[in-house]
Amino acid sequence: MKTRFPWLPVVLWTLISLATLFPIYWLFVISVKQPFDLFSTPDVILRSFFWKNYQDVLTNPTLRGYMLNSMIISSGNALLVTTLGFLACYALTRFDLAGKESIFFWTITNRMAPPAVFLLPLFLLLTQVYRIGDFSLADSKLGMILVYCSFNLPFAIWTLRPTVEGIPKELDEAAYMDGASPWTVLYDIIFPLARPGLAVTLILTWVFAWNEYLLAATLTNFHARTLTTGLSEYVTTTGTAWGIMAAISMLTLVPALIVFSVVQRHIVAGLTFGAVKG
Amino acid sequence: MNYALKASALALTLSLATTASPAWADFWSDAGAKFKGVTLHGVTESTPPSNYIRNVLAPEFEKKTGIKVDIETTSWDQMYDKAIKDMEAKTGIYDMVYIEQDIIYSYLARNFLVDITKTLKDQPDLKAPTYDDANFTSFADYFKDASGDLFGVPMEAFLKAYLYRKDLFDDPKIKEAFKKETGKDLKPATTHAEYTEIADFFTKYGKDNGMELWGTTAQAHTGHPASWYEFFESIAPTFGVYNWGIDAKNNYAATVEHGGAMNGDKAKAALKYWLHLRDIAPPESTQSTWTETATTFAAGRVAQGLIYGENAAWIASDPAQSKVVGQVGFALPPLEPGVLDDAKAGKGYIGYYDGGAFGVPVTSKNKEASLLFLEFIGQNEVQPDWAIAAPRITNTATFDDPKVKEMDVKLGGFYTMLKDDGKLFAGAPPYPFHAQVREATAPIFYDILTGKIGPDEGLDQMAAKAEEELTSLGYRK
Repeated sequence: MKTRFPWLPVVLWTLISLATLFPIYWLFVISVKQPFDLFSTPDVILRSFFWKNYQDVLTNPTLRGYMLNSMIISSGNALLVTTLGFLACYALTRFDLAGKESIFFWTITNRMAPPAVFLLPLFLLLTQVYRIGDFSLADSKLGMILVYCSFNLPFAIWTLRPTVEGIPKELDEAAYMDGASPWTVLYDIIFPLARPGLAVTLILTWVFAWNEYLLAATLTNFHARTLTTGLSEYVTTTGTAWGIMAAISMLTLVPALIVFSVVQRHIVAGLTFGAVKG
Repeated sequence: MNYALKASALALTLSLATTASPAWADFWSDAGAKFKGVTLHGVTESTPPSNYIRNVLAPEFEKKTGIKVDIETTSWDQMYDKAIKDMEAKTGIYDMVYIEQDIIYSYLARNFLVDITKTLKDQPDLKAPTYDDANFTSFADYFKDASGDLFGVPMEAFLKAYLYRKDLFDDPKIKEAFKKETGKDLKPATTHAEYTEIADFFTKYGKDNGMELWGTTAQAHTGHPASWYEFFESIAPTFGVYNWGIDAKNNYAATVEHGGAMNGDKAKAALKYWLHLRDIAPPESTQSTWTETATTFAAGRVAQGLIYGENAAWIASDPAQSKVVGQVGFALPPLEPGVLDDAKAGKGYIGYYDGGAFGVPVTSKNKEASLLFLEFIGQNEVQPDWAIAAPRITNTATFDDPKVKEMDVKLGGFYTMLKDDGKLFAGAPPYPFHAQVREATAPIFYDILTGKIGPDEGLDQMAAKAEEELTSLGYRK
């Protein structure tokens, strides 16, 4: 079928793409401007490049430490919640557990209140309750990985459930008939088929943990500070270092883009998996 | 002088030097010996003085004592939140906390801090021979309790000063235009009328000449406490309204009816003066807080303004951040008649003395080692380099150092002003209810700024609200 305006969708999509990408472009513009130009010449078009912000960020060992912490915490958390979420979904979809619908619903309650509500309980829990001698989960990478489970695990369960439900039970039954154990079924049958959904869950939970600020700002001090909390060092009474903050933000996009590009091919399949199940 | 005499003099000097410096070094190594392996944790706002502590003083201290110091630097909000949580929950995460000058009274009221004077008196072995709190400037008085005991070692102190653009004020063409328009010579204002006249002139001059130039800054955010503070700490005192217009000696009266001054004629005149300045300031002023006014000034968008001293230094000297390096003049804020006399007599003040100190929470697990560190950063010996790297002065000995004097020239005389006129400025009033009264009255203040309510009526409401809040807190009897 011929349309009267074949160029219209192209123009529309181009405009939408530009609107979507503009904040990132604007962030880049801020990151390569002289501090005093930020307010005095707020041009959209770049006329010169001031790379010192990037130089300052990349040569700062403290920030490199924060980035490493962010990588460890978000990767550890994404792997843990995806694994636990996968196991939970397998149990909830394949076995006749009493009240499983209620359990499924209950998992999401953690996400119904704003994270700020959990700040003080988590602070006390990590600093005073989970403490053995000098060891404390507070200000530790392990502590942050576990804290993020509270919020990311419900998300993982809800994202993975349609994926696991979408895999025909007949495949499990055939495997059991051949003498497979539940673990074999899980690993050899369900896991390969659920990979698109697992990839989506992994990346989204990774991004949630990577970008999280509020909990990290309160629960980390010296050993587990993340890159997002490092940004707050640049908001001071002697000025906000917008340029450096923008440079850090641009650099934080890089690992996320790498992770996205690796699992990109799974994303669309994962998001639509099970959507048409009758 | 013959060679033998010269050699003897040299030998004497060397022997004195070698006997003197180990004595200084020995105290730290001896005092630190029993804390070997200890790591102190501190939290502070990320500012140049704090970063200097983290990057320079902490490693030096570790080298001398063997005590490691980790300083967490973050935004003011985060720092405050973390310190309070730690002290309230008694978790003992921090051994040292940054104390903003205006929060110390609240901390003292809640017994959060270790009494430094008393502890050093009780434990003389902790007292460093090179530390003496008598060396601090008058700013240290804001970290003492009623009995004069010190609870924080001052580490940064600034004046909120009147900054003006020397290049504009000295420009012959502009001087001529000003003379033509007003019949007066263009020079930094000493009165509010003069300041307004200059501000009006430059705003018009910028508009007429197609320049991005206005006559004044205004820290007039319509929903941020910075605007409230600009009025009560920087503007109202210059009209003779001190301590927010609350009379602590008169049953904490705020309203004129009860003997207060928050809604008095002087306060109302001050507010109208400031609102006019806000209206002729750059458009970003209604979103400006303590930092944005500085950015506005540094970007060359205004001819004059009241700027927090912690920014004055980089505006005057850092070409990477400022377009007006070398062109910044410092002056005392414009005043109403009688206010300067009040300040000189100790009955009032002319602006805000801002800054902070390091204190030790009573919940610290390493109080003694922490006190050693505070003494270390409070000594005369470390001050000059600190004042160069992060322009601040808290110690009187610093002013006479040649390096500091050289820096003073670069800063347009900011240190001289701190030395000569610091006593005319004052920190926040010693109110433990500081935050409560501010938060209770601020919404009305924002309504004034957004035009929902007139300035006179608004101040009447604020004064009444302040008294209501003080009554509910139990201060007014």
